[in-house]
This record gives sequence, C-alpha cells and structure tokens, in this order.
Amino acid sequence: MDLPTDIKNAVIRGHIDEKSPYPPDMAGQPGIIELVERALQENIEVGTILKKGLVGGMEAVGEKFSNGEYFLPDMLMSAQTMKAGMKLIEPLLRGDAAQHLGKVVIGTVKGDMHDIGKNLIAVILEGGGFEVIDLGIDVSPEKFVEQAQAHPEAIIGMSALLTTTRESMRASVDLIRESGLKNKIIVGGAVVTAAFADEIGADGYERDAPKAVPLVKNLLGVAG
Amino acid sequence: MNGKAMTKHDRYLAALRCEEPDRVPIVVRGVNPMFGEAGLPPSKHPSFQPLIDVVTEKTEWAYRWHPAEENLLSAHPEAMVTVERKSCDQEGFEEEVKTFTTPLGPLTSIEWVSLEGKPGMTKEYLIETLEDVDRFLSIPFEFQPPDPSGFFDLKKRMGANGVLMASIGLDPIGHVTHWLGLETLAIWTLTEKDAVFRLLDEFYRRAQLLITSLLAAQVGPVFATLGMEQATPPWLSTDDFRAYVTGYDQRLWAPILEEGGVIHVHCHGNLRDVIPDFISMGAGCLHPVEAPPMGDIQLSEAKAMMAGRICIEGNIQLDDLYTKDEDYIREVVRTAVRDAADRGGFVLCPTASPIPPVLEDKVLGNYLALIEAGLEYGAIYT
Repeated sequence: MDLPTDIKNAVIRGHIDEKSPYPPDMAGQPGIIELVERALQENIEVGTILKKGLVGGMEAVGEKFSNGEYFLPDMLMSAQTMKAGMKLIEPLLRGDAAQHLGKVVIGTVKGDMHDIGKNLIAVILEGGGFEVIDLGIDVSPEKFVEQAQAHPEAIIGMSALLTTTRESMRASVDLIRESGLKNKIIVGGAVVTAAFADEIGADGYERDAPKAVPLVKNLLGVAG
Repeated sequence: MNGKAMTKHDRYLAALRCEEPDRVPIVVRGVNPMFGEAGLPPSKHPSFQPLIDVVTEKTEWAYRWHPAEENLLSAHPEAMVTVERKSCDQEGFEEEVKTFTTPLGPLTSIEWVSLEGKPGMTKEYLIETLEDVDRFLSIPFEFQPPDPSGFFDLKKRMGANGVLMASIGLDPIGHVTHWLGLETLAIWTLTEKDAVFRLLDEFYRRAQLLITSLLAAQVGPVFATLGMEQATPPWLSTDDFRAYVTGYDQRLWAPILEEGGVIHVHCHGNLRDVIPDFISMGAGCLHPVEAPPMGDIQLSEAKAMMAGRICIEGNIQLDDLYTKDEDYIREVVRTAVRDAADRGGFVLCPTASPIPPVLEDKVLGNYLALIEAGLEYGAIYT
C-alpha cells in the first residue's frame, strides 16, 4: 500500500504510534505519527496526506459509525489519531488557507451545557478538513453574531440537547438573520429535527454526526 | 374493565407487575404534590399548581425515596471530601470544586452548578488517569446503612395515591461514568478496560451493600434505578453493554427479585438491541422506551418484545408537550394506548420530567390533554 492509504488505515483503526498498544493487532507497527513523518520525508504533498489520508480515514470512520459497525469509542479513538496526524502537518498548512476546505464556527446554544455531541462534530469536521472555531457551551445569540461578523465566510453550527434550549437556537438564528449576515447556518442535537431546522430558517441539518462533513461540503460547494 | 375500581396504588403496581389493571395508569413524571412538598423543582413553582391539582385527583403518583448519598461515597472518617463554591465566568452558575483526600494524594473534580436549578456541567472529572483510579480506590470505604424511616414516612404520605419507589440510584456503570465522563469511558473501553472493570467491581460491591440493607429493612417492593443509558448503542456496542451493564445489574438485582420486588429502570436511548438483556436482567419496568429520533423502537415493536415480561412506562415525548397542540397530544396518547396497553403492563407517562421552572399555559393545556386522553382511551382499551 502507499503511504496515504496507510495513513488512512491508521486513522480507521485508531493507531497513534508504534508504542500504542491499541489496536492490539497493530502494536509495534508504525502508527499515524510515524507514517505522517515518513510521508513528509518522502515529500508527499501535504494536501494529499490531509485529503487522502486523514480526511479519507475519518470519512470511512463516519460511514462505519452510521452503519452501526463503529461505536463512540472507535469514533473517538480515530478522532484522536487523526488529530495526532493533523498536529504534524498543521505548521505546514498555516498561511495556506486553501488547504482547509472551509471554516465552521460551532457552539452549544445559550442555556445548554451539553458538549459531547458538539465536541464530536468539531472533531469530525476537523477530520473532514475544515478549520473549526469552537465557541464552547452556553453560547449567546450575540456571541454567534459577533463570530459570524468576524468570519463572514464561515458556516455557523449550533447544537442543542434540551427541548427548552431549542428556543435559544431559534433566537440565535433570528439574530444572525436580523443582523443582515449571510453566513450559512447548520443545526443539530438530540432534540433538533429537520422540520424544526426548516421552521427556524437554518440552512442545514443532519441527525448523525458523521454526516456533518458532506452537509458542510454541500453548503460550501466544495468537492473535497 | 374489571368489576371493582382499583386504588391508584393497586392500579400502578399491577401495571408494573405486568398485570392487567382496571385502566391504564397515568404517571405525570416529576409532577405531584410530593415534589412540591419536598421543595423540588420544577413543581414547586405556582404555575404548576393547576396541573398538580389534576394530577392529585386523577392520576397515579410516582415518587422516589433516595436513601443513600447519590454517589455511594464512603462514610469512613478518613474519607474526607471538601466542597468549595466559587464564582465563575459562566452567568447563572457557580463553580463547585470537590477535593477528595486519598492515601495516594488528592483527587479533584470541578462542576458548574446552576443557581437556577438548571442542568449543570462537569468541567473536570474526578478520574482522568489510571493513577486517579488507584487514588479513588485507595479511599477507605465504610458503608453507612440508610435510615429506612424516611421511606415509611413517605409511604404513609403517599397512601393509596400511587407507588413510592426506593431508589437504588445509579447502577455500577452509571457511577463509573459519573466520575469518569463518557469520553474517557469510551476511550478506556478500547485501551484500559481493566480499569473500568476495577471501578465497576467497586461500585457493584457498594450497591450490593445498599440493596442488602434496604431488603433487610423491608423497604420496597418497587426499586428504581438508572445510569445504564451511558452504555447503550450507539455510545457503546451491545457487547460492551453486556459486559458493563448486564453482567453487573443482573447479579445486583437478583436479591430484589428473589424477594418478589420490581425493578423500575429509567433508560433513554436506543434500546432495541438491548431489550433482551433487560429481560434477562429481570427489569420489571422500562421508562421511557422512545421511538425515533430520540430512540430506535416503536411502541408496538417494544410491546411485542416485552409483553408479559417488562412493563412499558412511556412514551409521550416531552418535546411534544412543549411544542405541539392538544389535538396532537390526544392523538399520540391514543396511539400509545392502542399499541402498548393490551393485556396490561403499560403506564402512560411523558418521556421526562418538565425542565423549565415555569409551566406555560400552552404546555399546561397539553399536559391536561394527555391526562384527559389517557383516562378516555385507557379505559377503552383495557
């Protein structure tokens, strides 16, 4: 296999480095760190490492999660692996925004303190090749507007787990629209449905975390 | 319909035992006079009073007596926990820093606690490393048997209005996740499973002591538990659910079942693949058994799997009570009763307690519609 494919496989299996005992059948074999370092030494393009290796790996992981083959542990381990690989190529990406497919500002809406789903989406989007600005939890509509103004090219992502905080989501979308900002808005979370997303005027919604990547790609019109 | 009308207590208990009551019991989760009297949100707010009045008169009450410290911590004099409250930069919240003194060094957790009774958030979990596991387990444990008089006082207060449950709190995986966090639990499920099992073994031991003491005090017959929703798919695989939940809870609940008790389980999430496990564990009642998108199983399918073995308590979505209209609520109640009430073993109930501290008029109307429709259709179908 070629190195980008090996990198992709390391992400899928969640193998970080040679010393990692996980997964047991890959213990002692090169992990993402050794493979990315080797790829850089061999002058493989950073974009190829990112898209074919890291992003390709996370896309495959997303599919496995969607079809019930993978669960949260597998997903998080792959995300950690992908991040370890990203760390090595990030210095080479800086100043070259084209290497990122786009930018997403993400946060859990005002009144909602849940962050696991939002964190998972952030990791998956990073793994999908996007720059992610994570505003954290309990994010006010004003803060979303401020960030939308600061990043007019960014997609704004909002998460809510509680029925009661869906109204905060509506208020945030309303305020962004009233402010005349043109950012695309995506929403998600346990209590959010496609119908609710339509009702509040969001541009996109997905129920499953891994589907956030194709959703954002579609909204930005990038092939990735 | 059976001949003589049952009391609310007998009606609810019959359903919990998968028997056929004289009508479908209706439990408005989180709302009845006992919540308000205990000063518990949300039903202490005056806006809940019209609903409490109807609940008091027409529906079955459910209430839980909590006998033990929520997290089954040690009563040993050397097991010191200090709690410090500080202001934090999150509006409406305070930072609560808990420090456990252990023979192997201090352990600390940080939580944001709402000043308005809203859900909080853990900023730093108590256990984040394998060394933390050793520290936690080094805390000398001493079990403090609970005073059962609180149960009997509440039971007297409850009278024939419903069922008082003795809470056995979180199950072992619920405790482990409480101190570890779901993300660490997930990663350790792949990399450090032995550490997870060490913690599970310890919380199993502590919960076993609690159950033994409750049974000795003749508390019961209905016991309430929760926590295993942290291990249902898609968070964890069914294999991991079996290892973390079935393997422990089955043994934990056995003495209760031997005494003729009933286990009431609160578990959100995707249940379809683990319903056989709940059956083998001996669960008596499952709440809330949710359809998509919150869960993965329709009531009719759940009924087919559980009929005669586990009572279904559910499954009117709380979200619907806050967002839909009264006609919609009547229809979902009609459908739920149609799909799940046949031959008993069904309790009509929302999927969760109300969350906002104030009950708006529209939501009140929907709750009242749920009760009216439940009384109407629940009488027809039994």
